[in-house]
Amino acid sequence: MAHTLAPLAAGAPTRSPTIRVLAAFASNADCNLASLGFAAGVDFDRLLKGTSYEAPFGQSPFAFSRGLNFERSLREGGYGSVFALLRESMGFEIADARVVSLREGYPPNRHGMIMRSRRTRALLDGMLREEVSAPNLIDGAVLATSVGGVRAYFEADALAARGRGPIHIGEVKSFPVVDDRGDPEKVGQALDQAAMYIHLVRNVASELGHDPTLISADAMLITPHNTGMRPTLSVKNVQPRVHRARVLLASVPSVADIAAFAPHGLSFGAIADQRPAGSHGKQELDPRADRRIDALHGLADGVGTTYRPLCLSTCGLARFCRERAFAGGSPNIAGAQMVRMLPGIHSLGRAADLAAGAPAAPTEAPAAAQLVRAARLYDTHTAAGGR
Amino acid sequence: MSHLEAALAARAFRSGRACRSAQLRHRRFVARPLAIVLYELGAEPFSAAAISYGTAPENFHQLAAGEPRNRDLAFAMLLRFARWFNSQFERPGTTREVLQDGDREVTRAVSAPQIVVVNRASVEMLGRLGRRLAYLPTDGPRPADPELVRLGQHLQFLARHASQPGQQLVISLTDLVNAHWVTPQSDFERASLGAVDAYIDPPASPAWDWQRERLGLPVSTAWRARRARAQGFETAALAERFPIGPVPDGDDDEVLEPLVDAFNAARDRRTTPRVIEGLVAPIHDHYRPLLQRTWEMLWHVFERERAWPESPSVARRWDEDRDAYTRHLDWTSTGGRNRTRQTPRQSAMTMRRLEDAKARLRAEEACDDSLRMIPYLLANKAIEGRVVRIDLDHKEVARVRAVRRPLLTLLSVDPCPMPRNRQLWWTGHPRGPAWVVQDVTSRADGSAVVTLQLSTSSSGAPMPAVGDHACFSMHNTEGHWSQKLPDAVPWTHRPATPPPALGPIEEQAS
Repeated sequence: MAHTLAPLAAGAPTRSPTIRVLAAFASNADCNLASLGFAAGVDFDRLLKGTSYEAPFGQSPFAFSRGLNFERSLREGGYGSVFALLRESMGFEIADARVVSLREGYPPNRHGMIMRSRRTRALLDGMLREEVSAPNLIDGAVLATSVGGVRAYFEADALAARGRGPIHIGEVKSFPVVDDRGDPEKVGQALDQAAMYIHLVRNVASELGHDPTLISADAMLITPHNTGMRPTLSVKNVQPRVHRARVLLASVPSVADIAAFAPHGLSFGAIADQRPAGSHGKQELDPRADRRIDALHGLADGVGTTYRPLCLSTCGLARFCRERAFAGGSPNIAGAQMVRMLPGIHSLGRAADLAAGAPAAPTEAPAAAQLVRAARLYDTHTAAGGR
Repeated sequence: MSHLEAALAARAFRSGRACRSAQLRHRRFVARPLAIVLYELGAEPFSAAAISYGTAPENFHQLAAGEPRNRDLAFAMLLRFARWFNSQFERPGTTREVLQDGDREVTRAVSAPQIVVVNRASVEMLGRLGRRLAYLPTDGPRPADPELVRLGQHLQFLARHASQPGQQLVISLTDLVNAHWVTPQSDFERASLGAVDAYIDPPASPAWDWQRERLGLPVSTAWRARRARAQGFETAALAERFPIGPVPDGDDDEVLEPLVDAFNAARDRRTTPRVIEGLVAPIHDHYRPLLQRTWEMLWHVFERERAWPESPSVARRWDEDRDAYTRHLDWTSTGGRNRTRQTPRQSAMTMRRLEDAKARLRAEEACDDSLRMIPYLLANKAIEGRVVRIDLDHKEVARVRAVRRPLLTLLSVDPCPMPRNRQLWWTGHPRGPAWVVQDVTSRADGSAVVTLQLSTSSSGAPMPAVGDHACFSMHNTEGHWSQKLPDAVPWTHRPATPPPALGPIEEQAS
């Protein structure tokens, strides 16, 4: 990714920048450590392998092959089933079947990504100008954006399609939709990714001098129908999610500034698992784990982290950060509601002291009074053993 | 969240152990529940890869489908499960009591089955399996066994009934434990039964044994000592590492994949029971420790919670559960099917019913259990104190003539910022008449003298005696009449698109 950050990522597991990864990162965008790792292209999900904080995000091979099979079935016959759906639900006509796939013919590196992003830009320009030769469907587009002041390229799983109206973004997912409903959590993630794609394409449109609203906020979701693999298309307006994506990306602080706070000479490589592959069992702990974790503490102390329970489902370092937050007694570990219940009280330990009658500072007093009363009532009633 | 929960979470953080937020168990536990543990394969939400079931810890049965993506194999396993489940589920319905409903006689099952699972995801999975099976055709080119269809209908009913607040036919242990204990964990962490359980009694967590076995450590003195000192946070972090289903862990599925490939190669598209039985053993053995782990956790938690005394109001809710169960059995025995999507009228009524059930559940729990009342005391929706005076002969002029309106004076140690004329109910008799706040006098030491007036002249109304400690709250546990809905659905409530058609969700004939 960014060349200036390359030394920081040296020796660490990296991941290919996709819009899926970007959408997952967006919810941690206010965390300096997450921003730094993201901009450097480090794969946090694998960074802590072999330590007790290892992320539990291993994907089932069955789920993985299900996804691949479904995507492959869509590409069969020149995207025949996709165009059938587009005709059925989106008003496409038989003639609208020009496809460009950018998934093949480019080197799998940064240079290839840049080439694909230029091509994507040219294709989108043609689509927006309604040129006769412009494609109706782009698969494997690459879009560029700036994250924390660093230029980055993202590969899209989704499709961009234009028939007779605005451009629509279509996210392909392999979870089934039954009775017009899918797993709400997975639908939410899919719509977040589509919204991120819409946001990036709108940026490109603006840069090219087009009206960004030519890219519709109605995201298409292409999923299997019922228990088989026959695709179905659902449409959902994701305007609020597009807005959220824009705000989150804009809020990422300058990565160069963050990097300046990293301890000198420290890189993610020092934190990564350096054991050769196949030299150890899957669950086996790395004998160097403690030293790696110390290095990560150094980095986290330098740049700062923002832990909240949501991280547990999106960030590979979450268990590490949770333990740091627990050690400090941060009310954050119990969730945002707890934080709101304890205004002016910086830790759960302090809340326990206040509830037990410790004198409260003026800023703590309002919440402390309630805590004291709650604790007194609890003790009275537990001692009384019922009514 | 209330300040009680915040105070208890802080206390649990300090002590490393969860705090109990109830003095009673607010759900009925039957003597022999139907315990079910489920596993999915990868991302196949409408199939079960493995199931274990039984009615007691030592009564463990296990099934594995082999290849759950194959319809015949998936259904073959579910059919074996259905034979056990249907007989267990339907048996309590055969003994009925006769009740008078107006001038009509109705029957009600004297007992009902209770299904116990570890988490809500399991309940949802049962619902999905129900969705898949309930509408299968029992005739035509690929007839399904009627036993499977009945299983589907039962599971669909249970998953739907599970959303009724306070119901007791389906116990999701994670929800039950979270409703009775407070830990300094987030909602995300509290969705893991192992993690919540770890905070309640850290050294007792089965995760310690699992970890020891995984690492191949001996039961040494040092290990025992470490376990005995264990705190909630570290134990929860350990317990989280052991998935308990139904969603499989990626690493476990990675071990499973070659087994399934070998199984599919060896069976060579054959699905006959004799072939499968000879080949399924490695897959069966793969799931055995996973299912047993969850099984152990399920009973470990169930038995601990069973030891708490049951709250009085569960009896009334159990009657409702028996009603729902009886109605379901009678409806399915007439071949009745349920919609997958409710009509606007049905959903309005369901919404109302769920809201009422929730309000009534809160009221009953608060009146049964003084710890449950604390959030209402903190929110000034209840007052408690010592009864210092009762004036049974107090009279008020209602319209024309003076009627008896007893007055009760309560001394509360806490301030009572409550408006006049607010209606309260005595927790000792929450179905009885209301008391109305007549006067509140705050005293310099922060205490308050509250005068309440009974809203009826009936001399039989129960009330506390002078000197008693009493609590009056916003809660009354009387049910409500169902609302009157317009005959025609208003245009605002008509769906834009017709609901999806009712039918099987099988796509291919593989």
